[in-house]
This record gives sequence, C-alpha cells and structure tokens, in this order.
Amino acid sequence: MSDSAAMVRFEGVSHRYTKPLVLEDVTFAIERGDSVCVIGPNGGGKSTLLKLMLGVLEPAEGTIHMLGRPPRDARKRIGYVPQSIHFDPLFPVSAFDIVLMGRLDRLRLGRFSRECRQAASRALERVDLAAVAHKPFAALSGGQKQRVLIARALTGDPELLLLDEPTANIDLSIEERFLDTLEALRESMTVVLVTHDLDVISRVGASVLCVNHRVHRHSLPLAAETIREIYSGAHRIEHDRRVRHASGDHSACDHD
Amino acid sequence: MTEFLDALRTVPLLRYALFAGILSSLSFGVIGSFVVCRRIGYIAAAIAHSVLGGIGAAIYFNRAHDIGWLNPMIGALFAAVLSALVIGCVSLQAKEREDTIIGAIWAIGMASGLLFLHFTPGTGVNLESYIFGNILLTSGTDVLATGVLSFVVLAVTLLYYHKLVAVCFDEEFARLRGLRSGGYFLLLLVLLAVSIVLLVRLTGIILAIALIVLPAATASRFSHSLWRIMILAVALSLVYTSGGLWLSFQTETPTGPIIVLIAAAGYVIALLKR
Repeated sequence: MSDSAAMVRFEGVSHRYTKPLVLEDVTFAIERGDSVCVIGPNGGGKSTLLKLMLGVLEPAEGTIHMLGRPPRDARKRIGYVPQSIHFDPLFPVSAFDIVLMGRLDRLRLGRFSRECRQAASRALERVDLAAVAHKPFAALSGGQKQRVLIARALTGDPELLLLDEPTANIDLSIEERFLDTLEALRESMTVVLVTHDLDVISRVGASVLCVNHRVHRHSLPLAAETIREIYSGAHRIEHDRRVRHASGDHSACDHD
Repeated sequence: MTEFLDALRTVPLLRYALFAGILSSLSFGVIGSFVVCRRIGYIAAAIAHSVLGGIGAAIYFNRAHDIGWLNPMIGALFAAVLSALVIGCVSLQAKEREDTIIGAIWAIGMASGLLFLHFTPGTGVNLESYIFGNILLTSGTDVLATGVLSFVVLAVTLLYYHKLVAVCFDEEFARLRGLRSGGYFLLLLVLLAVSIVLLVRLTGIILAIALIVLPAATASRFSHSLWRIMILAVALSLVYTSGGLWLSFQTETPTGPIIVLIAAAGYVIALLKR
C-alpha cells in the first residue's frame, strides 16, 4: 500500500510542553488493517503521541495526517478508548447509556434516534456484553467496563481504533476474555494500542512503535534484547509472573 | 393538619409559599442530581453565597438611584449567573486555580452585598430574610417568577439531558465526539445558578446548598440511574418543602431551617438504612 493511503502519517513531528522536547522529529506511517502497539517508558511520549493523533494537541513542528486529513477533521472516523482513570467509575449510568455516547455527534436535541440505539445494541453484542446492557456501569467488573468503553468507540463505526492502556486496571483472571475481544477487533479494523503489557503486544500487535522521545518501529516477535532495552526490570518481572500464572504456577500471583 | 389546610385556604401568603416550594422543588431536584453525581457541591456553595452581592447591589441601586425595575430577584439572578460563568471558565481553562477562585467569589459576594446594604438609604433592609430565607414573604409575582424559571430549567435539562450526562461522565470523550463540552458545562452551571436563586426565598443563601445537595444525595443511595435519582430527588424535595412548611406552621418556627433539618434527617436515615 502506498504511503498516501496511510491511516496515520507523521512527518518530522516534534512536540514540547515546556522546554525539552517530548517528541523529536517523529516520522512513521500506519497502513490500513495494521495492528500496532505503542510501547515505551513512562514520560517517553506515548500519551502525547495519542493526543497528537486525536488532534487534542497541535505539533510544534511537522505534519500529521489521520485518514488523509488533519487530525481534528478525522475525529468522527476514529474510535477512542481512554484509560478508565479519566472518569468517575461510580457515575450513575448504565452500560447502554455509555455506549450511546459514541453517537453524540449525531444527537441534536432530546433522545437518541432509533438508529443510534440499534447501533449501540450491535456494539454491545460485538463485545459480548448484550446481557449487561442495562446494568449500572459501576456494577461491572474491570474487564467488562473496558469492553463497554470499546463498544462506545465502536458504535460510531470507526475505521481506526485508538486504545490507551486498556489493560491497566483489569484483573488477571478476567483479562483473557478482554484479550479475545481485542484480537477479534484487529481482524476487522486498524488498531493502535498504547500499552505496557508484553502479553497484549504478543496477542494483538503485528508490529511495535517504541516511543522514547524518538520513535522506532519493530516487527514482532520482539527479541529479548529489544525488550530489555525498552523496559526496566519491573515490566519483565510482571511478564514472567503472567507466564507462570498461565502455566498453573500461582506462587508469584496476588490472587487466591 | 386540619388547621394547616384551613390556613392554606384562607391565608394567601401561606398558599404562595406552598406553590413556590413545589415549583422550585422541580428544578433543584433535577439540577441537584447533576451536582451530586458530578461532585460540584462546592461550586454550588460559592454561587449561593455570591448571590448576596447581587441582592445588595439591586436594593442599593433601586433606592439610591431610583432604578425601579431592579428588584432583589434580578440582582440575585445576575450575580449567580455571573459567578457561575466565572467559576466555570476558570475550571475549564485553569483547573489548578479553581479552589482559589471559588473561595474568592464566595467571600467577595458576601462582602460586597453587606457593603451595598450598609450604604443603602432609607429604612433598614431585612438582611436576615435573604441570608436565612423567609418563605412567608413570597408574593404572587414571586410564585409566577419561580414557575417560569423552573419551567426554563426543566425544559433545557430535558432537551440537553444526554449531552449534559456525557459531559459530566467523560468531558474529554464528549469533546472528541464533536460536542462543545465546555459550553455544556457552563450551561449546567447557569442552570444551577438559576435553581439557587429560586431557593433564596425558601431557605436563604446559607441554607440553599443543603436543599440542592441533600435530596439528590439521599436519592442516589437508592438508585444507580441518573434519571431515577432525579425523579426521586424531586419527590423528596416536594415532601421536604411541604412537610417543612406544615411543621413550621404547627410549631411556629422559621421555615427554612425546618426544611433543611428534615432534608438532613432524610439523608441520615438513608445512610443508616443502606
């Protein structure tokens, strides 16, 4: 596929909040159908990269094109799943109400249209949560909450899905189903996923963008040497714990 | 109870007080639910206290400069809406300064109101009726104004319900879906300001925050659905205002504090029950 058909295209992009550059001379492209994981140390610029893609931030230098347009103009065709810490998890709304929010751009006054409500129902079915549609969001498990947020992003019929650390607050025992959902999505759309989770990378990613002020692209699987370069010991310990958990050794786990 | 019902038939002031209580309950039950769920009770308190500045200025200019149309209700409405917009803009543009500006508006409102009233010519102004409320001073015009403002608050809330909920739940996502989320947050604060002004006659400036927060907080103990919380909060507000009016009539005590104490008792019972 040619570069002009890229879903995401960064050319010489730099960004700074104060003095030092958070991102420096970043150039890359993500093609339609790609599944890309964005990884890197804290403070390396992962969230900034996502905010630039969404048009929340403007680059100090360089150009960004999302689906061939400036980011702000492409927002309606992009689905976004934020970190769950961004909002009050006890806010009194149902899962269905939250999924409907993905169609806010089609709401004028009063109630959502029948078409919007049907789209929300379809999105909940797609993440296998139709049974809990009218349950309070606060009563759902961490994994279910994240799948509701994915359904909210899907209900706007996006061509590109951006996820910001979707497994950050999910219990290990229910994560498997959530990963199944992500794996199914990568088959049907372009996915860009910010994560620290090496297991998510191996299940969902086709390639990796390593962000640490500059951006380098790696194909998968990542060499052990590369992982060591990117991450500190804490991340590798967590990865090892999960491998042991999967093989039935729970000696390093917190759960019963 | 028979004595109270007889008084309602024969004493217009008591009838006006009941109508004002019922009409304002509709709006502050609904807006109070947003306040509790969005956790902006501190903003409501600052707006309530800023109202005294508007009341004092209105009375001063009315008497000193003979501006006949400028009554305390208009002054209160102007001050409340202005405070809501200032706090809202600071909250949106410089979140780290929010608590400072809330404290400043709280104090400036009270201080300017007291100064305006000090310089107001003529006989003394009944300051206590604004600070602690006196529902029995409600006139037929007050009831009409309360009805109109309550209708406006309810109509706007119904029309923009889903957008207001989206902005309260996840402002960033709402903005990314093309909503002017800052504008809708300011709209919510303006509706809150109008609801507070409706409460000034009922409970006064200081106790208004209790009636904005307590019915909705009690209702939120029984439901996880915002619209159900709103309906229950309106029902509780109707019970509190009507019950408070009856009890204060029977015991010959001030109405505002009685209404607030009944609402507080309801909240404590809800806390203990669940």
